[in-house]
Amino acid sequence: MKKKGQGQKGTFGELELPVSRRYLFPASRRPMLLLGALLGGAVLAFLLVDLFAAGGRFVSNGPLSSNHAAFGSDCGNCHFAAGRTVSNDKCSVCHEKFGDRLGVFTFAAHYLYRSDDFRRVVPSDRERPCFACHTEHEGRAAQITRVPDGECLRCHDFGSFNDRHPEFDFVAEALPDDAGLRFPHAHHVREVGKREGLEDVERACLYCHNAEPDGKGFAPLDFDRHCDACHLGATVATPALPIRQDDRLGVETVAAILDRGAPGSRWALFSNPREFRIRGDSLVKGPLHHRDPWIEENLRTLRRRLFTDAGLADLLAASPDAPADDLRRLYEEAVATLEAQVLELRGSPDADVQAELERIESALEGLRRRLDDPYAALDETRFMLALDQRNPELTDEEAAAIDSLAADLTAPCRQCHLVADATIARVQTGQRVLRRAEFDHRAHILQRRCLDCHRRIPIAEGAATAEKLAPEVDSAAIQNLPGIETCRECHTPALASQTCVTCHYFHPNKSHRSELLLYLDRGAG
Amino acid sequence: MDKTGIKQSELHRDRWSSLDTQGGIVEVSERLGAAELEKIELFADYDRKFLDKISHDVSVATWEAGAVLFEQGTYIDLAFFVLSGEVEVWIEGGGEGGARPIFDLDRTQVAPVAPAERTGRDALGSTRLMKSATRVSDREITMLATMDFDLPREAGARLGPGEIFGEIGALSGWPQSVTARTASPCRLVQIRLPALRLMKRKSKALKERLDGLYRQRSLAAQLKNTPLFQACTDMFVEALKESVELVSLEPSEVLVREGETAGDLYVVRSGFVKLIQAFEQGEISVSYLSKGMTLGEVELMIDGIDGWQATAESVEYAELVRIPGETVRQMLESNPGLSEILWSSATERIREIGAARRHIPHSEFVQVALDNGLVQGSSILAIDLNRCTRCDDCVKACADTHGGRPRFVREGNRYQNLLIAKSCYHCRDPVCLVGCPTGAIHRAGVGEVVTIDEEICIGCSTCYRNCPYDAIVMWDTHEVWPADMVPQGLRGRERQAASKCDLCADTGHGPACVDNCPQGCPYRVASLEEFQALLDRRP
Amino acid sequence: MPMPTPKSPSLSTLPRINRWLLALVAATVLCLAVFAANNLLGDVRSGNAWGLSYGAAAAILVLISAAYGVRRRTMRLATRLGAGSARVWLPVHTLTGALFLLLVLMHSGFRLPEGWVTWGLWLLSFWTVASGLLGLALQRWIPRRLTSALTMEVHYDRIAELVEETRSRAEAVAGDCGETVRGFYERRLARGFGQPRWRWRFFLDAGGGVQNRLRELDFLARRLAPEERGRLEELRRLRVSKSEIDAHYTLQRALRLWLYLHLPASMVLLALLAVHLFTVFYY
Repeated sequence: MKKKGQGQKGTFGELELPVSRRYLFPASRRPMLLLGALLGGAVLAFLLVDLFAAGGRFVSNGPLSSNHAAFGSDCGNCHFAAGRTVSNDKCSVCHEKFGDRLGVFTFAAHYLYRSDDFRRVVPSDRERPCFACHTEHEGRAAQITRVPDGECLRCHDFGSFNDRHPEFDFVAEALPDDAGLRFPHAHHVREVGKREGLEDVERACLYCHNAEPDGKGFAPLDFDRHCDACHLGATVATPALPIRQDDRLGVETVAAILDRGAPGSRWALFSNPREFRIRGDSLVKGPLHHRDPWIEENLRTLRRRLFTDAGLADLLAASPDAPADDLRRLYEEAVATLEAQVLELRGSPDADVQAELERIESALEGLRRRLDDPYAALDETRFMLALDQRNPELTDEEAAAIDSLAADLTAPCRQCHLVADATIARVQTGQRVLRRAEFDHRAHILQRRCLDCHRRIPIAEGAATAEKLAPEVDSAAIQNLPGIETCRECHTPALASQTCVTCHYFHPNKSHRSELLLYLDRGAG
Repeated sequence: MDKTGIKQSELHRDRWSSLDTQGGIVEVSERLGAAELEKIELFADYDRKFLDKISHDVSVATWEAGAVLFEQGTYIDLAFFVLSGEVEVWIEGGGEGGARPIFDLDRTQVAPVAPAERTGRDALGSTRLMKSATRVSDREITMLATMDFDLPREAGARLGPGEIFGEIGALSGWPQSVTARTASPCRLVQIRLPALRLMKRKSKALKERLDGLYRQRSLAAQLKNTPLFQACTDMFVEALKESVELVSLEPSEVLVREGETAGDLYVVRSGFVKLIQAFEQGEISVSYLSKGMTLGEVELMIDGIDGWQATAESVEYAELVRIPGETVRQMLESNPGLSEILWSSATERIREIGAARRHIPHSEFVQVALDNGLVQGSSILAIDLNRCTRCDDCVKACADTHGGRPRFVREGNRYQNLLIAKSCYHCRDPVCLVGCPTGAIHRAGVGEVVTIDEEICIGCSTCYRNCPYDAIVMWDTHEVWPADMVPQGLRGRERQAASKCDLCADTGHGPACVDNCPQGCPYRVASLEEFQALLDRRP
Repeated sequence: MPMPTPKSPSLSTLPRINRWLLALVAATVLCLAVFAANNLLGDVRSGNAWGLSYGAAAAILVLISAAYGVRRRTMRLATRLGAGSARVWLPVHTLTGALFLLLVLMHSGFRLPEGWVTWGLWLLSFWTVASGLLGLALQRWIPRRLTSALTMEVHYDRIAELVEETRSRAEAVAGDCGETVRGFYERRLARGFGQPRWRWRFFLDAGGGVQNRLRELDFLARRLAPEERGRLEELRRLRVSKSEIDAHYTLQRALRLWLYLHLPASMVLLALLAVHLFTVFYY
């Protein structure tokens, strides 16, 4: 710096430039602020106009998902009518208009869904609005049904599929398969393979386990389709059975049944007399049919002797031991039987019969209503009670004789079926075992083979030998299903998806949607 | 009464009305005419025209007993003349005496002074509430120079009718060294600084009387408080004060020249004196003297050195005391302890001169500091250019605080990374105060803050011209002086006003420029040590 | 003796910016750790509790950051209320601004936005933070260039005045010169004394390479009579000073123009944020 004394006053710097004689007012930043305010204001104004006058297309956080895209043209479609946020009512306009009968998309339905937890019909304080789980405005491609695990974990204390998820019930509790049938798997696979000349063992599975059209599960097993080819050939017949006389226990002939005019016995008019070979007071029936009505009718008669008032159970073709989630079937079966009987009785001119018919029809109506009511409890006790206690008037000898006759009568059936109390055990034709989750076979079979997972019964090994495997190793009662560890071989954080909604649905089975169509049909009708 | 007279009365009210708010005043007189003033002994020498001219700066106030006129350490621009009653003056407290700042300057604390130094400076051993250790030493020296009264600590004196007091502080811009209180109901003539200056200039008798008062009341005290004479007996000092000579220096006046024959000892009373030595083809500043320091001990003490070792030149106005060589020699004989003090001072001076010649950057810094008055300033606005983004927020903050008009220009000389802005330094010896005709520019009561009362300023530009650092700006108020303005020369002319940084004195907060800089680059620097710390800082 | 002696600067404390930088890095790491931990617990979406809390934090941060702008424009009030020194506000502004961007990203779970407003917010967040960081870099870099490479300090608002001053001085000197130097001045130098000039070069070289361009002047000087040489020397001094003024003009202007990138965008950002908050809380 240069030397500066009084002489240099009024200057600064090396060049001794003149010092400012006035205060220098800082340059205003107003233009910049103005620019910002204008831009900001313009954006704000545009968006507010857009929001309140033009549908808010620019204001929204993002386009609606593809399914809801059509509503995107006007915010009011969802937002304005019922307050600020989207209320469940707005959702139910579409989603429960058709489903409210069943409450498919409600919280209540979640409690009920396969859990039969009727106590939870009262709303829980944990209930959340639809949009809480189904976040919208996340783009066209967003799938709002993919609810993040966090939403489930609010109530369910399972860390994740790989952490603290409970073992499947049937494994954890070692539940037997109440198939109601004698069925060695290995033997059948071997026989089918032999007959069809199959090289691959697993192809034999598909002979009985026919995939449903969606590929997820399998169609119910059916005698006519799956068993008939081998079982109940022309040579199968009952042993010689005593014909019932006034004082003697025995089977009724067709003529006797017709004479008795039992309800639902119209089949007797069309039965083939050649199938009954009567020698003296004994009778042989052959060939037999599956669900042979003569055998069923005789069994029912015998059962009525064992259980004087079989009640509703009388309307069933098999025992009332249905799985808890399938009680409808019992009712439907009973209703079908009743309806058939009613049809038969319509032609009768008898006034008593007509009065009885009226009674039956009103009972039928009540039954149908119960079936239609999603919240009505269905339970099989009405069926079970009937078969609870044997007729106390029977002596032990008499009861044993009846049991013995029933056993003889069903001797050909018992090759596969289980018979007790003069009743054929109900066969579980459906093969669904996961009660609260969905399993898609199709998604798995492409990458894994059947026996990779279903390996409890050594089917492949058993099919390779000529011997039948012991029933402890191979029987229909063995749950040939994998535990959760098998699933975890692939479903890990690093590999296949393992979110809650991969397997579980919050709302009941989608198949209930078919009810919507039904509703539409009725509405149109 | 003519128009001028009316205006004079108005001015008088303007000047004195604020006194009414002060406790203890019973009555302040209206403007006294020349005829009335003449009757007072103090004004007897002056003609009526002159008295008319100064009349608005003079009033007679009646005080009740026990009223505090001013407190020790405050700056006032009044001198008092006792008409009747008695005034008591005394020095408060022990080491705490002197100008203790009530107003906190809130300067930016730069690199802290090493703790050892800090405690070392606390020579008096009392608890101090100072922000910065460097200021402590300043204060001791300030005390020394402004000792109006030669009073022992905690003792008082009574001043009766015919006595003048407060004048040294008023004339020199120093803080009062005593507290004054009326001992009985008093009538006091109160003379504002501009009038006092004019009176002193006009009347030789008054000047002599004031100088005499200074000698009588102050000099001995000053001398006794100089480390040099502390060892001497009171009697000796009393004798000394008769033999010494008071020396006043104009800016850049040479006191002694290198090589000329030496012999006397100088003690600096106020201002700064720089010591210059020939160096190669030019010269360098080797050191400088501030209040209380002595010059001449090297030449006196060391045999073989007879000529002045360095040229001594005043930086701005400076006041010194010359003690003849003969007297010093007498002192040395009677006080053996004295030689030790002088010896250590002399060796220190020689060491320093040697160091300055070897350490060129340091020497340059001293030169710059002296040339730019950095030694003067008690609060210099220095901006660290390594950080300054030139956003002008400091100026905006200043303008915001002062009604939209900034009080400094962010421009000025640059020394290394520091810009020394054109903002008031708040000099320890403010030359701007000299010659203000209205007393508009004044110390803001306490502390070293100098402010301008723009209501009183008549825009004469004296301070603006006097300020060596261009820190005062004349601004156009866009008003015109009224037709009855006094002095008459201003009537109808555009009204200008001087304006400068007041350190945000009335706002209750520290300097807004420092507080509002986002980069933290402006500093209010009070000493060369702080400057040095800023310069040495890593960018 | 108040004579200062050179002493080593006290650097016991870390420089200011490094402490803040440390805070920023720590906060960033903390946020990312929280996000990582969070991601293990559950999916982060802008709509769920996690995402909303990040969003709320981001909004608070941006408001703190914006408060700095308010503080700068209400200095009198801020000082009077003791709102804190601006030198603390600036690092807080920077810190909260940078963290704001991070939290915006966390808010969306590091996904791209979908709507117009959210896209706008997303882009503006990036833009504002990026321009802010650019400004920070400029503010830390340019002052040092100006201080280390130039000898003089010029007030931006006085540049035109001072350029005019140097020009008139140069013309006066040139007027006194002989034919050769005057001709040289008119042909080679006069243009340089004209207007303040913006040159990109100053960003790389605050000296502006003026020494190189003045070589011809030195060449000429060696062939001149001593007094003409003295005048040419004066011209040279003036020319170098003009170059320094130009450097000040360019670099100080950059410091001022930079704010145009940052401030209006941030105001639009706040407007969009207001709309966003409205839609989030209203719907």
